[in-house]
Amino acid sequence: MDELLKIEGLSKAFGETKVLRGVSLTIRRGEFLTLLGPSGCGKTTTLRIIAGLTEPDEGRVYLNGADITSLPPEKRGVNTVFQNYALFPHMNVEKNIGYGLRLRRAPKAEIAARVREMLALVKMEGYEKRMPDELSGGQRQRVAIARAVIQKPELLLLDEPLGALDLKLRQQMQQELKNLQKALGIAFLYITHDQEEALNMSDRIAIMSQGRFVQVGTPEEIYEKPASRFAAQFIGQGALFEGTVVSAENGEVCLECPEGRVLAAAREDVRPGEKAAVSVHTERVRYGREPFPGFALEGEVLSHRYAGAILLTELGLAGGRVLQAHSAGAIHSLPRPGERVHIGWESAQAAVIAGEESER
Amino acid sequence: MKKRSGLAALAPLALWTAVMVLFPMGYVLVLSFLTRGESWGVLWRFTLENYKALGDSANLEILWNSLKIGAYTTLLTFLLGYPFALAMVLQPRRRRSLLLLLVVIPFWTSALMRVYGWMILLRTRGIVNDALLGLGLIHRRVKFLNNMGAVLFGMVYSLLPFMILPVYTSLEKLSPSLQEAARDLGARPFQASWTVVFPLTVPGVMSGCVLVFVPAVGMFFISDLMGGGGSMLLGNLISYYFSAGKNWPMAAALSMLMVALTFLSVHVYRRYSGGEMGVF
Repeated sequence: MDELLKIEGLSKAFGETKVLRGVSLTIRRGEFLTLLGPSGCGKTTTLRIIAGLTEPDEGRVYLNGADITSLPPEKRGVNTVFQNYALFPHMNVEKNIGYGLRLRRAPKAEIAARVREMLALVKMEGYEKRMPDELSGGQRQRVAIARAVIQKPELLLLDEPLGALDLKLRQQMQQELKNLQKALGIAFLYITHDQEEALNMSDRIAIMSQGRFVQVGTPEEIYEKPASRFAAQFIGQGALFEGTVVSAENGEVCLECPEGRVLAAAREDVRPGEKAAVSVHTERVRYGREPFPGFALEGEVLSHRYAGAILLTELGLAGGRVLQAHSAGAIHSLPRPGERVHIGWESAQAAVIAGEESER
Repeated sequence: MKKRSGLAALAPLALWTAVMVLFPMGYVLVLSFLTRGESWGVLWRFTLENYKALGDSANLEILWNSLKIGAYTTLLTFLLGYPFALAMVLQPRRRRSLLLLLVVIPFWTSALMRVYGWMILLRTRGIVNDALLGLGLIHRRVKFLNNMGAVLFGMVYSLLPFMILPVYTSLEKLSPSLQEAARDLGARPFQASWTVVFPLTVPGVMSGCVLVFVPAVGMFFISDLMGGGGSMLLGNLISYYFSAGKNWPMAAALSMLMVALTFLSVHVYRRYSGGEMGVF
């Protein structure tokens, strides 16, 4: 396997707080890997350890097979795009971008040429003499990227680089970052708490929670086959049904739960009689006047809510739980609020998660 | 409408400036062009003699000594204060406020008292000499006081906080990620400090330099007490002419020279700090 960076058993505590509890991960050459998790889950600490800005209590970091755990940041050959960009306020754009080359005493002509090249790469030509405080957030972002990329790292670390931008700009920058990564052919380790960003950009996603990796996989794997309840609830909009497995055959599991009986795609480690949960995404929930084969789940239409591209319907289940579904078609042809309906979905489109609820 | 209310808000400031700054300055300025009275006070007769007398070799020598003491004091407070401020910023937050308090506490007592305190400690028959003798580090009592070294020591001691505080403020404002970014881009620790941290604290350093240099040139009680009155500085000269010398116009002219020096250093400060951050 073409492995670029490997972290092994990283642990870190700040005082009494354990931020990392033994995380291991491999980043492949040229891949876009995202660390996704809520704030405080340890993703920034992981990145800082890789950059050499924080020392781990335990564990090692290998780059191209060489142990770099105790190397200072300036000797690592990885570069970072900081969360607040950290542009040097007393240097103009050109000086910021050329900083690393100046430290290495590169010839002036080479610095000028490389800086121009970088400015073209991030589409900032003509801004050479601007000071950082004369730039917009998006422009600062570009300069920060150029300043890191000019070092020709094999791995670029990005700490929530789009966090401070507004939605429209963020979406545009997502695409640009992805294109940039492909054009440069270098690996990106990207940190975000925004699952949509992660799903859009990544080759692989590592979901973090409380200092551990919960699941590592492609966006599709993460979305379709959540490995835990945390992963299921963190990715996408959806619902979890807790219950006991009654059957597992023909590629389907059937789960008996307080709300009724539901189906999901089978998994080898889920056997009849065991506790499990079924996770289904909101956009896959169907409802109607006819029962769904294999399902025994009923509810009452509570409301239809217009949400632009879709119509969001709330369904009241037995026990008072509310399940959301998407509705298609004209509003007058849908079951009205107060009507009893049957609920179900394609079993292949729902995932089953093994084990008791308490495990995470 | 908005503009007018803005001007109204400035009124107290304008009043304060007039009463506390312009009026006394104007008084001293006028005084500096008058003739000294026979025995006391001034005669209302215009003259430029006082300014001409500034060029006397005795006065020039005192001016030169004052500037030297001011420059040395500024340099020493910088060399001591910058590392101290840097060390403070690197402490955990709680210890930082404690250190800050320790820097400020001396201000709770009069500077004069503190200088007397040092005199008691440093006297030839004082505690420091006793201790050094007792420890066998010296065999004969050392004359610490009544020389230029003592004056410099007193100046540095009194003015050090004025260097530490602005430097500390400018260091504290820096985001630690700037230094980290420099390291990340290949700078060794010293390079990161020199190319990123230091340039960004220059305005603080310049504030500190002005706050130290100006009083160092003018302060008279330190050289009076620790220098034993043998070393005249600009401040001593002014105080002499106002009191024992009974030449108010001359004192006023010397004061105007001090004011000019102050303006000059503020101008230099503005020039090299981009006019932002810091105190002015």
